[in-house]
Amino acid sequence: MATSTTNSSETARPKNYFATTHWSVVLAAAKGDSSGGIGALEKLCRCYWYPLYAYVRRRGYRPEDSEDLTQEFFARLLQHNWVAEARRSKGRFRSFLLMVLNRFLANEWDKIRAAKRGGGVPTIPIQMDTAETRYSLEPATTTTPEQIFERQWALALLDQVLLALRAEYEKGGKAALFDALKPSLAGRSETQPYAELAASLGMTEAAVKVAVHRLRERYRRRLQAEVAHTLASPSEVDSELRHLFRVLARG
Amino acid sequence: METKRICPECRRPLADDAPQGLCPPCLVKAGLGSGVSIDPETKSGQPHFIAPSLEELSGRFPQLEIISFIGQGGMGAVYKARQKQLDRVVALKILPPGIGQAPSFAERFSREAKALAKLDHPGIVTIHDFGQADGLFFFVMEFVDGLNLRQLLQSGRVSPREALAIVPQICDALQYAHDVGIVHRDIKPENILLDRRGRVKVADFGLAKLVGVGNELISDSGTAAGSAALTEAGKIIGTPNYIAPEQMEHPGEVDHRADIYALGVVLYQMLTGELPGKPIRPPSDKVHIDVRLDEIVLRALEQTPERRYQQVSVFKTDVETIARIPGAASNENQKAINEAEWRNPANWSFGLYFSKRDSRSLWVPRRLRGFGWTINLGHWQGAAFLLGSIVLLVLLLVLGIPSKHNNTQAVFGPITERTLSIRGNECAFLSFRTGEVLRHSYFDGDQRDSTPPTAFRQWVREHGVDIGFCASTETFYGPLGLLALEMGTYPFPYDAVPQHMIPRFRSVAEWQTYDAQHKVPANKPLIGSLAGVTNIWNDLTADQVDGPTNEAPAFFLKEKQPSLWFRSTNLTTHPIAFSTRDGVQGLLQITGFTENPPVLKLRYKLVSHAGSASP
Repeated sequence: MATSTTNSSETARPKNYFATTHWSVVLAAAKGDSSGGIGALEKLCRCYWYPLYAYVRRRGYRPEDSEDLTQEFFARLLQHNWVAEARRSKGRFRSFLLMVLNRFLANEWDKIRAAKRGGGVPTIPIQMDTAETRYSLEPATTTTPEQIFERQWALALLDQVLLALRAEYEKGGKAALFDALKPSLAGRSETQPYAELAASLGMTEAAVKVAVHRLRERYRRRLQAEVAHTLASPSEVDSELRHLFRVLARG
Repeated sequence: METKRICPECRRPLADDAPQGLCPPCLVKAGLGSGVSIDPETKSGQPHFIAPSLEELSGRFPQLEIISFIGQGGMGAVYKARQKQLDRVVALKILPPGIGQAPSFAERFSREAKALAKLDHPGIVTIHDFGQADGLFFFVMEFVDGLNLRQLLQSGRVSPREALAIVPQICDALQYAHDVGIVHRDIKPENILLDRRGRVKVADFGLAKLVGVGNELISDSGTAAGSAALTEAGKIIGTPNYIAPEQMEHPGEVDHRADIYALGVVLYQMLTGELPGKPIRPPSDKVHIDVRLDEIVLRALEQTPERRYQQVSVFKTDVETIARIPGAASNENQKAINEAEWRNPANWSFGLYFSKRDSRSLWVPRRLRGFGWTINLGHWQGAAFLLGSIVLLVLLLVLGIPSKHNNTQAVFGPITERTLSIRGNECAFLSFRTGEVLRHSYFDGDQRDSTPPTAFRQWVREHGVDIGFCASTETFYGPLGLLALEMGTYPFPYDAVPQHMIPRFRSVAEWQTYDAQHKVPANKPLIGSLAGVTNIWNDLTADQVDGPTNEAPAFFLKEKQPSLWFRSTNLTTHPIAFSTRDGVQGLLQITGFTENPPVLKLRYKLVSHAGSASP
């Protein structure tokens, strides 16, 4: 369940009510009225725009064109409900997005670019000013556009999870605890010496162990939920996680 | 040029864009949870081998009849066999196949085995023969018909008396071996065998040293490595819990006192049922035993060998002293033990005693002093008292039960069964108030001629619909979906389609907790399901279906943990309990579904909240 800033159209609906997964909602809405679908699609796009940008850039488009392109793509995506294509992408948002983007690049972008000058009206808050800076940090090796996309996708997902988790702790006044215990998320055993942590946090060692355990549990739930958001069925969460691992382990 | 950071867990370089500075692959791996393998290419850390089958072994050991497979551990696999010529049942132990790769191994094996074979003691499992058969190193040993101590421990805590009977025998065996310079190095409950006559036999003597040196030579490709690997982390011989501290740090420099430590752990475990933790709690803290045993156990468990018992025989003497002279402890201790024993209900026993006919008093037979109540049935008062108590008990039981029941308990009405047939992407709706099944083709194919949301909601409201079913021949949706309708502010069908993520619960209480925590807005029908109830039609009472609270969201249950869930395909196995805003409660189950033509069979029973049954 991603916590995200709501825009005015969403204030009527309380957050986390039906803990819906965005992608399946989008897919369901594609068959009927799509008003709800757009909200969900927006949420997804907000998280994962950077992988697309990086992909586009790696495809060879110049920075300013890439910026236009990404904005325009999302605008079209949201307006035209291309989700009907979704069935062919085996129910994963990640695959769907890339497929539709490719089609967009192949068919539509040329026409649009010829017709307009300047950027489109952004419908989602893409931080275009930081996009290029981020991109310039990408390793200039022989990674293909797809590889960049996949990798950035995985990182975006992890970022989302960690930020949301931190926000959760912050809300409970436990931001310091989160920061101190954070390294234990990337492991299964005692990754930090509990005795030291206990001393620095003013807790007993047993309490530290419990806190670490709880943090890992919550993280795991969130990660699985976040992954599920981009899938059509929860049975695929494990295989999607394995895919993400392979992508990231490749480096 | 700054140095690249490395992830301490997986040792991969840490990129600058690592989320929160944490290693991304490790983060993903951590998210998978235990039990799920992430990388099929990696091999497990421990040397692992497949024990040969009985047939395979028969081929290699023509002089033996292989009877059965007994067990397997890191040290090898053990089989029950019979020496044909001698007609004697023996145990055949096969060492892991990869072990013989090092060139010096065969020679070392031979030397060690000869030394072990010389051990001739009733408390040590005798080695009859050893050697190499087609590349497999083996021992033929005495077969012990009984249990090992691990199995005994698993069936419950060993009593102090039993422990004090077993330990001296182990000590004898160990002292004998130590006297000839052999250290066991792997004393643990699995290696302590007890035969049917209660005699103790220690097995796998010295094997740890032999096989342990070989252990790090085993890799999955079977290539040899240097013996310096003995001290490499992760290649420690022995079972971690029983290893003496000095054995962990300097495995090559261990002496017989490591065995004493291990024995201490075993004794601790026998007495308390648990392994000693950090810091070590004295056994008498945990169980009611002679406090003098604490001293002995703790001394055996000293971290530095110098502070431990230096000889097993001394340990044995101390242990036997306690066993022999119970109650020789200080008065205070004894009193405390007595107190504890009295208070422990496990030590109580009850009985009815008779007394002399002319005696007016209740008295207990002289040999049994003590507290308690004795009913003297020699006198009519005693019998009357007994009878009266029984009658009182029965009355209490009988009267006690009804008080649990709520007079206002609602009763479920009769079970109704319905069949709905649905075509294509059609929805059917059931109204419990009227009992009608209505039909609406809201999701009719891909056509956009479906009724706009507001009109549909109105339709739904007008007809008093409570539950909707959506069946679809579209493979994407799957065969079945259940819609929970809400009459509130959300546009239908998107938000009201609960086949997306809905939290699920295993009990009404859990659901109430969720409800309280999430402050769900009003005017929602409550739909829930109770897993674990086997026969909802008879077992469930209406007060287990809580509500109507008007505040909880729709949800469905599954047998496992609350988790994300997408399709209601399991609705055919799980009944659903629900209650609507109007106070209608009920149980619902979809008992059948066929796809061609799409037909749903339902059964449900209803009760209204006011307490009377209504169809």
